[in-house]
Amino acid sequence: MSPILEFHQATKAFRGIPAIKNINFTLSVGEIHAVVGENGAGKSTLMKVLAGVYELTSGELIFDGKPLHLKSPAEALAQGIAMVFQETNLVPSMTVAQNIYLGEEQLFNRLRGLYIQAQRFLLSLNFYVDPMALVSTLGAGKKQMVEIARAVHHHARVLIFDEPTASLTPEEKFHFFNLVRRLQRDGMSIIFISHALEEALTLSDRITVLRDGEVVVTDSTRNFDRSRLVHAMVGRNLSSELYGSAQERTTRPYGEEILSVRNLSMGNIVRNTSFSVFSGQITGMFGLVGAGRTETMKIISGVLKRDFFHGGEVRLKGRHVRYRTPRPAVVDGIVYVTEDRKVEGFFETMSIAENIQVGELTTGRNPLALVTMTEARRMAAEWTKRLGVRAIDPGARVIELSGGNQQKVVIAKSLVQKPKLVIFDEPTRGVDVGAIVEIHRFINELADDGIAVVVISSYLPEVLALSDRILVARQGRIVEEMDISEATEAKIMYAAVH
Amino acid sequence: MIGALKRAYAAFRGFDDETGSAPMMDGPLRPNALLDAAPVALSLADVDNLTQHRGALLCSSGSRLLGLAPQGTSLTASDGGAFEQPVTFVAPGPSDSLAIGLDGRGVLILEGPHAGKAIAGAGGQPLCSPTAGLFVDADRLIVANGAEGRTATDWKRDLMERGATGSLWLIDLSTPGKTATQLGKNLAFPTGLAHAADGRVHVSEAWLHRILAFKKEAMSAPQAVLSDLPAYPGRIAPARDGGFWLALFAPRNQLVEFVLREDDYRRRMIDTVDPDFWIAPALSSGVSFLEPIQGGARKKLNMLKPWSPSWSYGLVAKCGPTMQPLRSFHSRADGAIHGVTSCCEFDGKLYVAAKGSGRIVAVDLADTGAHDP
Repeated sequence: MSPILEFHQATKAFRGIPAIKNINFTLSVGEIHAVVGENGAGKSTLMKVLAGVYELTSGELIFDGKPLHLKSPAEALAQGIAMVFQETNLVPSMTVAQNIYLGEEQLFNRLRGLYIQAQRFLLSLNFYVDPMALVSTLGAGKKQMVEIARAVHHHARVLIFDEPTASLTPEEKFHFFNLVRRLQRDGMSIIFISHALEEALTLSDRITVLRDGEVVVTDSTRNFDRSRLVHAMVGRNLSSELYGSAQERTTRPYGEEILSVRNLSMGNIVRNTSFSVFSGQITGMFGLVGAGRTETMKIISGVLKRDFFHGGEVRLKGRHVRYRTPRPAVVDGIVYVTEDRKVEGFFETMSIAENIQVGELTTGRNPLALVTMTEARRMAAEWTKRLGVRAIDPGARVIELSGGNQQKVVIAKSLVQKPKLVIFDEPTRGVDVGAIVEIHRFINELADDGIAVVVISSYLPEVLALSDRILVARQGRIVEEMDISEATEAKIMYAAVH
Repeated sequence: MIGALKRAYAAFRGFDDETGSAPMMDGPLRPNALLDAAPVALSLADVDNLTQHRGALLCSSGSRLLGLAPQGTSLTASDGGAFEQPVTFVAPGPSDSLAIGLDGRGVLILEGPHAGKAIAGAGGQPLCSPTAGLFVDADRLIVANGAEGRTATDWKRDLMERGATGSLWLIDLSTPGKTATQLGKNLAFPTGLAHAADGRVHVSEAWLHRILAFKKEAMSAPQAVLSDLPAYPGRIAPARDGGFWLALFAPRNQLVEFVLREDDYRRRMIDTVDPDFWIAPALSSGVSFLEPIQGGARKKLNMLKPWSPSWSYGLVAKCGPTMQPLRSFHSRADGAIHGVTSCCEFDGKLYVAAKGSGRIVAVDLADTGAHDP
């Protein structure tokens, strides 16, 4: 197959520090090419060069046999290169149809015609999305479909997926894979960035592994297995550290009942759900998207409010509590580490130290809110060391960090609040394997220290690797509880679906 | 403001406040069928007060005391004496002491240095409901009196009248007048006693679904070491590993919790309905069609759903030294080992006496790994 796209000795440096260096990369017509690597390996930089966000410092990009100098994403799109971001770039207050045809508005727009056109177009792609629905009301899976539809509509020939499956349920992933294969059959070339190595191994034709901004290896997928891939990514073997057999490890005994939730209800999302959480243990919570896991935990931590009448009750160490804002929950020792770190997790233009300091201020232990930067920096240094946050510059803004390091900052910002109960919502979403090991280790340390830990995860191996007991949520309720000794992927999935 | 509105609404509707729900059984109290799976060692009507004395098992059946000897997987019973009143507790102690409680009568010391002594009252009050006894040493006995002026067998009435007249007494057997010191009062039916690792005494307070810790020497403010249990706690037996076995004799459910807050309804029910058919917990259920049911959905294809709400249940919890539950053994709504009032660890097995079902089952602890949390 002839290459549609090539990088020759591509280098991109920021403030003189190369994020990618001397990259040689080719993408063939109708190929699915997976790009994997740890956070900070340079995947996103490479793809942003391709999508017109950055320009190369040196080297060249050849597209369709001709050198290409992209100045903006719009130019890239005009050339037929589209990128579907991990966090979708849709306008939430506009409808699906308006998003698909964004930028093509006429002076007078006939919305009805637009919706009919969008409906036909979406159906031609086998996407069952209501074109009149507001994007803000869509789930992550459907948002992704709209993004893809938009790219297809712009006649993209190269489609770049950045962590496309991070927010999808197993069922949605299955549909997504089918879709990608269909796009491939239609002649589209696809670059697929993922931290889920199984997905790269399942879906792609070739895999390129990046480490520290350089290509370690590019090879046909059939020459890779999981351990070779991990080894290439991190330079050591992490497979057993990552997701060892759940049955092999010893579980922690039940501690004190920290949280008791009874008949909790919120609209149709959380429906009469009851469960308990114990100290010194990791309680895993699995469920498909829409099972109400996040909403349940947000109610508990005061981010959302439960129903005013018949909303059930939440007891913290036997004491009835009802939080209307997160702050009193934080003061009482309940901390929720969000799944959507970019929106809810940190202040992206602030430094690591400032973010951690904000976490400390929330606790009310510093009533005058007097902040000395020396103290903030000391705290930041302590937590960055403890969590292994790697930043080129300690004063760097959080937005400049890689996904794994951003997640560590979010965790540090929460744990500085000295919680009794920590709720991790998808703690390793969009995080590389090296950082996953570190985050898992840290979560285990918290439980070993006697803190009650809840881990919400849609990734079954993660739930099995971390949890001492597993709660399965379905349609707004906890429907099953399992000890880790009896839990298997099949059992958990059965409970989550049936 | 919102809290006040909610309370006003709850008062108007009569429910939806924080006290209306029963906690669920999850975590270490997650339902299973281990009690039903255990072999039945002995069938004996009204079996109760399973304990260990002089290296052998003892139990009571109504007003009789029985010795039990293991024979393979079963137990054989031998007569240990009969009394005028039902035996309400059996308390072994140091120097081979043995005390029993007699319903409506008080305490009788059967063996040991003070054998033959009878204690009819403490602090000027009759011990008419001696629900539990515990020797501190050969001369001092702690007795729990479940309710003032009511016998122990009348426990259901005490619950439905929201009784909180129980008391805890330390009785010095060596003094001529058998001096009694009150350790606790206004307790909502204390039913179990055990020595805590920190020198205090654990007391199960059944109607408030909790375990309290009292000082042994004098009246003190109790500390709740385990609360909000999903069933009514009964006797506490020591476990070999330093923990405890807690027998929970009846389940809590939302309907009973509701009835307990509806004073007029409850009064009429008590006045007009046979106690066996009250909306109240029971040691056994399902024997009469006159029993109140909780709407439909209890049965499917004439099979009782194990998760359906029921008046009786079988539950034993293994607790750690700090009284935190570690695991549990259940007989669910469709099970046959209901109304567990006592249990005793003996010879690598946990013998569980289900008074409601009239059975003793032997749980093999090596099989269940109950000592390996």
